[in-house]
Amino acid sequence: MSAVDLRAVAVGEIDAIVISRLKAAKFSRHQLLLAALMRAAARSAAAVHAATLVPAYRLLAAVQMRDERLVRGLLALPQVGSWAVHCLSRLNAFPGEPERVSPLGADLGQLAVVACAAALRAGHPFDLDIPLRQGAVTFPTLGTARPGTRAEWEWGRACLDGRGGRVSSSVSTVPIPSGEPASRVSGRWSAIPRLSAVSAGLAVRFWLDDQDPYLDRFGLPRAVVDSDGLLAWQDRLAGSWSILARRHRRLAAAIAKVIGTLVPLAEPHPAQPVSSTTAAAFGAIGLSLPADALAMAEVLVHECHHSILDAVTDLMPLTGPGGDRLTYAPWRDDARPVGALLQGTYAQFGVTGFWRRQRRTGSARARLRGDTEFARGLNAVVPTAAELGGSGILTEAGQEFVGALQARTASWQAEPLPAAARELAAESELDHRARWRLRHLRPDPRDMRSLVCAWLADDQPAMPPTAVGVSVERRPAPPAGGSARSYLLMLRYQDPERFQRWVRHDGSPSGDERDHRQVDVADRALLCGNHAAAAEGYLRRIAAGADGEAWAGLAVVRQRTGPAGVAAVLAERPEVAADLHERLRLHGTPDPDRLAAWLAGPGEPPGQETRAS
Amino acid sequence: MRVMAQAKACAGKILAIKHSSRRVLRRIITENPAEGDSRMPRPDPDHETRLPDLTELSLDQLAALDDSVVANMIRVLADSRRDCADYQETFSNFDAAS
Repeated sequence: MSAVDLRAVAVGEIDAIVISRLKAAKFSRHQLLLAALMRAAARSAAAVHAATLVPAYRLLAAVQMRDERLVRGLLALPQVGSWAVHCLSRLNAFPGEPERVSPLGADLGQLAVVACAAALRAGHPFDLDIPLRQGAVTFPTLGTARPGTRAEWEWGRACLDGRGGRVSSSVSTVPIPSGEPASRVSGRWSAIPRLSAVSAGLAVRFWLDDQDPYLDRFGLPRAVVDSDGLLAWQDRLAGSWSILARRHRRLAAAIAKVIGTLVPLAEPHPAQPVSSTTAAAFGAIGLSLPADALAMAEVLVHECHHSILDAVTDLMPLTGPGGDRLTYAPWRDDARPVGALLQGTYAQFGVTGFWRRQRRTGSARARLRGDTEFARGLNAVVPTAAELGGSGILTEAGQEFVGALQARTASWQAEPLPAAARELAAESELDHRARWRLRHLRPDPRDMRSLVCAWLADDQPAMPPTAVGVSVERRPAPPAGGSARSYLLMLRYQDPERFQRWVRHDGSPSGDERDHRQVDVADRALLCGNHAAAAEGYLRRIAAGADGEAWAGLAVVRQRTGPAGVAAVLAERPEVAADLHERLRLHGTPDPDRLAAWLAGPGEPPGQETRAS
Repeated sequence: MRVMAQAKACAGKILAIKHSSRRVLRRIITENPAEGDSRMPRPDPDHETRLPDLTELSLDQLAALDDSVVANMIRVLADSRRDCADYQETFSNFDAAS
């Protein structure tokens, strides 16, 4: 990959030639993994190798003689990559801790399933043993046969002869429909659904695969898609593709070439969308059903950037050692290793570019959403790219890459943004950052003891809060459902009508299950614009006990009400104020505002307001 | 210009592989030694390349590759992956622990 190509990828100018090279690299990787797997199995699983892998490999090679492109397409599939990595990890030829839920033979035997798919599609006669798991087998690009089995795992047989294709188990035989399988659904056979869309002359086609066992690798349970669900997915794709193909041509073309399979994931909580890309399964992305067409377009852009950068890093390392230090990533609730920032920053950069263009179109409401998302993107990408640039973990190529990305975002920062969008973005960002700091940062105990002593002695603070040392702690993930406040702060610009409905109901359920969240009274007051009541509620919660969510809420509300010094301390160092407050509980329960004002130092005139509420 | 030159060089190598027997393939690999390892293909002159180009190999040709060549290639790939923590394997907008 040339330096010119690398810079083009860094700034999102990804053309078809570069994508072809990256896909070729991934295909080379699959070829290499397959070659290594055959050899590793011959050494350490000789019986399975002879009985299963060799016949399967021979069948694939025979089909390749008839139809090279077909076999190449199958070997390039994401589930083939993740299968090979999984098996090589089991054979200890590749790093990783694979799940050992299936017998090794059944895992290795998946090559026979791939070979059968190739032979079925090529019309090449065969007769091969195949592993059946829980009574079923999924042929990549074709579908799932469910002949049933007497045990969880069983060897069955697949064949194609003059009577057609079929799969047999100890229980039954299932015929495999020939020809275009997408329309065929019967009791014991279901084709893998395909989603497709065409807009402005640009077409896209995805598999929607909720069956293949080697695509179940995205860290969250898959969702099973029924016929109604399929319609919803198709509807989202059609809407998102219309947006992408008409307004984001280059991105759309990249998505159509890079992503081939969507793996439906279950939302861990209503209105908590998830998406994921895994390096082992290039070409597939995992995602829950997005809320609307714009959200789907955003997810496709986001995950496509992950996939592209992953392929780049297969060709050249962009980061070196030392990436384990934990830090803040504005798009995650957990503490992230700094080495992970590159992937996240690049995906967010792609999304920010998407909103930059998108914000120029549509109704006033749509433009406000676009402006706010663009502002949030910049707020996330600019500092993380700067942190990466100074982290010392980037290789020379990595420095080039991040430098090009920073230059591009610097030019975006000069673009005008409406004040309303800036405020909405800043408030969401503050809420997230304050919650993260309160959850993951631990102030240095010695520094805190000196602050306690100064407070008790009625002195000035021993040091400004920004000078207090902090360490990052990896804490358990927040409960599923996340923060209702965070969700509603975003709902203000993502779906203002629904937000207004929610406000009109005074935070009571509006008939939409996504809004059926437990919303604290202080949060409700904040979101309804009653800042005095919100502050009172948060202060009451803080007085009742350690409550990071309440401190973060107070940080948000004090941005509205001031005083400026208190607002600044709560926004920038909420963990110091909260920790000091806890330490002083033994000496009475100090007022959090008074404590924050004291930490802010004498320079701040008391009562000065940052903004009219 | 650089892209054209690379494309030509790549096409030449592919043609050579296509018409190759195992002997020819082995010669291409050993005559393009990477620094520090004589069995690896030479990396791209612009940037380090972790992966050899195996796109044009048929399954029969893949099976005919020397075990040692494959083992060496996979070691390089595995080492690069071993250096990567989990966070560089899966990229998600949620905490996998949740």
